[in-house]
Amino acid sequence: MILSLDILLFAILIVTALLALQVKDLLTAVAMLAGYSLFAALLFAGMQAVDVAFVEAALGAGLTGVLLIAAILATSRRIDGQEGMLRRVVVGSLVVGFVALMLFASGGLPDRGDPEAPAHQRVAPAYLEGSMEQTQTPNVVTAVLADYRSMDTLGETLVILTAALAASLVLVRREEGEP
Amino acid sequence: MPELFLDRYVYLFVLVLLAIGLYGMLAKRNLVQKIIGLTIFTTAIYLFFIEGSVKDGASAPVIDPALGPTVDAADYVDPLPHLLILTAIVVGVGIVGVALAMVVRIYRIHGTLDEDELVRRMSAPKAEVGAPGDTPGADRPDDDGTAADDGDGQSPDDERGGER
Repeated sequence: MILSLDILLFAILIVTALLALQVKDLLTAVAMLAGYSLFAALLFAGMQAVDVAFVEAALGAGLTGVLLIAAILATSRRIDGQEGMLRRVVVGSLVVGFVALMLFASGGLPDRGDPEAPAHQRVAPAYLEGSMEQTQTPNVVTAVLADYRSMDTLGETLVILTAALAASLVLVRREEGEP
Repeated sequence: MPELFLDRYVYLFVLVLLAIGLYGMLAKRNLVQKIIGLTIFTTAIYLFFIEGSVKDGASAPVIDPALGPTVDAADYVDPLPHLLILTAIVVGVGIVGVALAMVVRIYRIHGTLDEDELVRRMSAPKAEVGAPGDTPGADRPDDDGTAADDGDGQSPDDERGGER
């Protein structure tokens, strides 16, 4: 991982995130959000998480953008009101409190790239060392997804089915007096 | 101090992104902007998780036979966070899909996406809500048909995410 590239990508992420929330047109905001997801995918690739980078580029930058554009075309792309001063102050102080709490909690996190971090100690080496022998799959992420933890993946497809059902039910049902 | 920054800078950047997303979710009045804030927040959490899988001098978790018959776990990054985040990305798209379906429906009934305006309308006497003339969307019946088409297009998209 190259440090300067890393910092550049994070700076782009912060700028696109701010722009996505500040622009006055929702379609422009969606374009900014797609850019945000794409640069996040680059960061994932830089952190050696290639599978995550693929999925983030396809679903995060692609499908989320398509869904947002479809919804905006079905509704309205204008942003009407500006948030009031009171709201800014209340939410701003809440966010500052959240950041302070997270900074405090991050003291217990392991350093970057530490091979002795607790997360790397127990089950992950077992997956890495057993993957070829037990599942004949060189890609360990695939082996864990479809073999060691296939029940998780089954549950995930159930979640997607539920989401699709919920979305279509919400859209199809009509109230009395609704056009 | 520079060493502390090198060990921790990803956490700092992720924290800034989390704060931006949280501010967008809470402070913005437009419902679609709230969903954009939600997406920024969840992507920052993905970055935090993947940061937990990084090991110094390790490569992507695809076993390379050229490295010898026995696998040394120190040569590959942790595959488990990758898997969890793959699942989380797909579920996140499902969340956005359901939220947008609700946004489309709210717009159909109330004709606005502005939160304060919606609260004002919903606290008004019941007869006004949904009454003819109250909804700006009511005088455009053809607009409604296209909205329903968009909704139907949404569910195959979600199922495609599940097939991955």
